[in-house]
Amino acid sequence: MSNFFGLIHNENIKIYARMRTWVMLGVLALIALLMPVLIHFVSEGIGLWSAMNTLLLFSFLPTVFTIAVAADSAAGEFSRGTIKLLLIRPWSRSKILLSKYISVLLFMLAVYALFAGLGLLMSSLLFDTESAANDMIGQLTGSLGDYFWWSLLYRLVDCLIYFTMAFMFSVVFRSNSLAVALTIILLFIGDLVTLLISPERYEIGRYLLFANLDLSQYISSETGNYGVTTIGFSLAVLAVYYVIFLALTFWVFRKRDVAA
Amino acid sequence: MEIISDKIPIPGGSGKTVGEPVVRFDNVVKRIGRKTIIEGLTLDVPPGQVYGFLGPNGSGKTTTIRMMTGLMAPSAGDIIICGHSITGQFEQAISQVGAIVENPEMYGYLSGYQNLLQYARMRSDVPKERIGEVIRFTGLEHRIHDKVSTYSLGMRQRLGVAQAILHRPKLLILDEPTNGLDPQGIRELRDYLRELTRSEGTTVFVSSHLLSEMELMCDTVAIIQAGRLIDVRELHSEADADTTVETAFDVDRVEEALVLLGEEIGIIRDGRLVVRTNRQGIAEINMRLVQAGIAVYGIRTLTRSLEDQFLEMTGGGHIV
Repeated sequence: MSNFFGLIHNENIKIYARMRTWVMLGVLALIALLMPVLIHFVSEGIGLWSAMNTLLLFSFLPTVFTIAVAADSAAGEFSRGTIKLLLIRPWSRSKILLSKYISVLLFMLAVYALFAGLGLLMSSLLFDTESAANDMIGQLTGSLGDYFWWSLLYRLVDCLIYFTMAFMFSVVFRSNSLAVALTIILLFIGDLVTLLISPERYEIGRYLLFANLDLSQYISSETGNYGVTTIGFSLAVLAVYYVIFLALTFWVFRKRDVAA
Repeated sequence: MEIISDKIPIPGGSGKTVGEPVVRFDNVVKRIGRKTIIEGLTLDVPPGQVYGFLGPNGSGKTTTIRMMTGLMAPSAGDIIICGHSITGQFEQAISQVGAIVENPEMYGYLSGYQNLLQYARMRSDVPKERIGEVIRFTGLEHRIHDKVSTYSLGMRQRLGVAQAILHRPKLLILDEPTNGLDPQGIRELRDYLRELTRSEGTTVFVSSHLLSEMELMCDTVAIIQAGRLIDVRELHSEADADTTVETAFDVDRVEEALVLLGEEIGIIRDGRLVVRTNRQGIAEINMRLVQAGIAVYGIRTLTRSLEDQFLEMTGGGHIV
């Protein structure tokens, strides 16, 4: 049989051959290049890393774009009907789905690299690396540079969980729009849910996915937003959700009759 | 009227078949919810034939093809392709198969060539030259680098055929392949399938509800209705000299002709003399008519088309 990288290559082509993808990348590049300029005009005397931390406020963009690609990955094949020609090849369904998942993962890394890379490039032209006295975020100890890199890493973890969720919805519901909508809705009501079932008051609250997302809560406090969890605990909870999402996704994809 | 072609036993072929069946349906059952779509299908598809799978809409043709290609799992039974179970040894079984299931849906934002590359990359046995070969074969040279979204239905069908034969499959499965093809395209497809069975020994499994198409295309047809196999029959069997067929003689004085030949020999229908006889008989009747000074304008054998037989068997195409 041929090589598994061929499958990943195929999936990458399906992502990057589309106009849509380049519109998303264009918007992202524009934001990453223009935001430092805007920040430069509105704030005075801030340093490079402050600017970068401010830019991170826009990290929902690469996350949402990754969700969009993840949601289309499987559902798009179902709605187009191309899933049939894809599955009648000498590859197991698990491997075909895995190649899709990997291609989305690579897309996530690419959009975050583009976003952070261009932002960093532009900011280093505009801001002074040394002066970090007046940061825009405030009340922080430690290096702003470290803060940025940790925040970025945690955003990636969040994004990983969100796109895995979108990927799951995509496979389970076979509808691109439903997968995007559900994931975005969850992304926004997450805070509301943790507010209602507060981990501070209810034991069960701390096992909610949303109480453990946004790992940057542990940068400023070792016990997080709610004072009852640790980063180790949160990582463990996220890992459990992640495994459940993936297991469900692969199980459904392997078992399902394709009648599209 | 009796059915002219001989019935052959179900399952299996005519006895003339050589070699292992390419596809073996072993008591295949498919239930979806409480509905039984396929009820115990047992059938052998012999190698090297164009094998028709005929049935009215909703009879379970596409469901059967989905099971043959592993898109759906049978509720019971198994399908063996080239000795490999589609459920137990999917990768080995499917590697012998090329297929179009329903419409040939492609990636519209990719060119025809890029679409073929997608499928070529999924195998190790498709060299670049082969891609060029199938493009020429399906007559897509001029448009292959255009986006598929600009293709007509007929061109998509051709591209569908191209991806299905890319890896020289032993078994080619085509679901309603003539949909969307113009008469020219249908003819080309037919010739092409013949060519494939002849030159590469490919077995072609074609589903259709278009009976006239099947008659022209297939060596054998299996007829299903409401998920049950109701008949398997061979077409294109050489009519031998002793076979009697109904023959209509178009003559100028039909009453006189009947008297001349004897009342018991035939009947008058639609102003023509209809006789049941064999080849030799036709020649003799013609000679006697001409010798008696009766002008013969035409002689036509009235073979009943598969369509008539099919409609009779399936109760006028009634969907159950």
